[in-house]
Amino acid sequence: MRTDTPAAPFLDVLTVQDLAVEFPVRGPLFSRTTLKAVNGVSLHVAPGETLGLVGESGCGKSTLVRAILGLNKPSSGAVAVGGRNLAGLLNGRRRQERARIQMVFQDPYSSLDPRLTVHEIIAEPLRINGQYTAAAVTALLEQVGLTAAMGQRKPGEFSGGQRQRVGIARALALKPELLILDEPVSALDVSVQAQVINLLQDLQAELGLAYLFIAHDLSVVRQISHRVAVMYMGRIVETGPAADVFTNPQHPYTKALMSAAPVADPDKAASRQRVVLTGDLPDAANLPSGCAFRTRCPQAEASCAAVVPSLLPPVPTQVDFPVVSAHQSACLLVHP
Amino acid sequence: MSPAAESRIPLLQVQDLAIEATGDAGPVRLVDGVSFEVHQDEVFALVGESGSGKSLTVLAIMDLLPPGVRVSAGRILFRGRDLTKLPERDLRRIRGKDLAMVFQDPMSALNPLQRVGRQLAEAVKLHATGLNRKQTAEKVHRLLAAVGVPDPAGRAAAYPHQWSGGMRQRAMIAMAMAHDPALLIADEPTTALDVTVQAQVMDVLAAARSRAGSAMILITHDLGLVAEAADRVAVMYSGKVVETAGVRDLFHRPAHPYTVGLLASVLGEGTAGGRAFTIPGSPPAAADRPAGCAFAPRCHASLDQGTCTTTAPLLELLPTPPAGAHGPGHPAGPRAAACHFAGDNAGQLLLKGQQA
Repeated sequence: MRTDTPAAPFLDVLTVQDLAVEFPVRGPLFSRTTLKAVNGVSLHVAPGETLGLVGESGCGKSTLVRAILGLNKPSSGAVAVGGRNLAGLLNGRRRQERARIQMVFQDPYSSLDPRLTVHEIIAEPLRINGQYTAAAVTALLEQVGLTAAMGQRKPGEFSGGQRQRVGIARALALKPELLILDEPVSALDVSVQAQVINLLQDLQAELGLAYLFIAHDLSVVRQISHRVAVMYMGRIVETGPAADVFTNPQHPYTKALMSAAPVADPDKAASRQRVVLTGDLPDAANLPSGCAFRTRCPQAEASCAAVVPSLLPPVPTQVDFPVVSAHQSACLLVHP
Repeated sequence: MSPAAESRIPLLQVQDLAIEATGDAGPVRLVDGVSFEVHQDEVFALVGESGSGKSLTVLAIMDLLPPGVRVSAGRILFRGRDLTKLPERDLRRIRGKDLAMVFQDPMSALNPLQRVGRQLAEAVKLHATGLNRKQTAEKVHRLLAAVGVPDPAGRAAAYPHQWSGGMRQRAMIAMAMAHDPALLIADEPTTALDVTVQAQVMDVLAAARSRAGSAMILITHDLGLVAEAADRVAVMYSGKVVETAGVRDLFHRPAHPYTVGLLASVLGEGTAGGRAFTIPGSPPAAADRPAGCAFAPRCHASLDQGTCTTTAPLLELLPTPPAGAHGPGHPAGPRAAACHFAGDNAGQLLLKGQQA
């Protein structure tokens, strides 16, 4: 969790407004239903800021990312880059705007072409946009802690951490304003994870980059994020400054996620209280009514089945000043 | 053997185990002289990064090494019998009965074309030939119920793809526990699972283990899981055990610089927002390990370059911590580390080097 303020928190690099992505699926017999993979998600990322997006597999993180990149067509809602709604632009112009967002993938083994040299891999986006010079590639290699000579080798000769550096260099080639990092360190060993996280923090400080950082490992998210959004079954159930969400989680799902993460201290591990959730994620094509989390929630009440809770700031106590807090959660027990 | 004598002898003793792969340029030593003991009823964690040899070590215990990889030296004593010398026929009587294993990825460990119940029945019948069809099915349902699978009879009739990841791993645990094994080997049992499901599966594993009274070898790279589940720990680096200790000793008084570095690079409350600690460089490939200590090129404690780069340090006993330093539960046992400068200072040097 970071307490420093992002460099220029004025105009957001990325704004996602009430986004929904639906897929048609076959139901029982001949019926057809829709699977709402992303269901009314709003988020924004300011320049120089890291938004950590947390959620388990199947929660809709990847569909959300694909919709931001234009790979999935949203059924409603809008994606705006630098305040400009992408849906209203012509194809060529839209491509230009999208170049301001680049992606770093989870698996540095399968996301790099094994037959190209690292130099060629990083040169590819530059060539496509007519900006290629050998010096530009060398500068990118050095920026991520590799050497120009290493550019002549192929990905197979690199370790996992070095490959992820290549992936980051490729993403930086077109001077983006926002990087979407999809589980960028989860395939790496512990000692290498920290190296890549430090590199990302250095690059952010140097270039004023914004990050949408997706991970299921809460300690990694806590390390790098200014703000956090927690996603469950297509919706954001809690969001706020990382310091607030991590020290004072509101939503029962956030609480369960945090208590489930193992702590690397045998004494704390023995004494702490854990909330172990029962059951699995519900079927996304057949979500429970009301709050989607109620089937696994240790505190669910009858009213949870009736109403879909909306994201609201915490209920002010008497001693609080009447300030609007950025820390919001979607739970009827928090907001009766 | 009398029960009293049995309790004194470790359940499993791995002694100077070496594992080699046949390479283009001659054999490559992937595991190089590993020794450890696992006692009745304890959870022994093998920790290390990818390529450290931890998975190969347990595959050797199960005699499941991939083709082209073989045990080239050392002994694996299970209840006093050397598994490396046992004929396949005798080994088959032990494997799946007294020795069982849970793998990392439950999807690839299950046959996608067979109903889950039938696969469990196969494991049951392998070592319990007297059971008829009905008795076998009942045993399968009991095993599934014991690991918290709801509607065991209904789920047993489903195919693996109709099971969620967490439920599949429960089925794998049920299969491994079918004959109340004396030693359960769990190789990264929750790495493929989400955090909330991981907590469920670790609870199921602990309950099944204590019901059957099994000892467990837990292989993981997650130090959080080690802190929560293990009694004793061995840390592996580049094919060797570099440190072994009781879990509290390991976390509170790590003696090998690599262990110190690993623990320091764990991200958490304390590091958030600031810079994370990193061990410089990356582990060497098995084919070109440096002479002397394999960790020396990444180590700030290797001040005496002469010794560290010429002589490989042996795993040597360290002074035992004072009595009463441990909480109740399992005795911590001896601490040992393979470092010329092992001890409480070696680690601090590493940390200082980073801050400077």
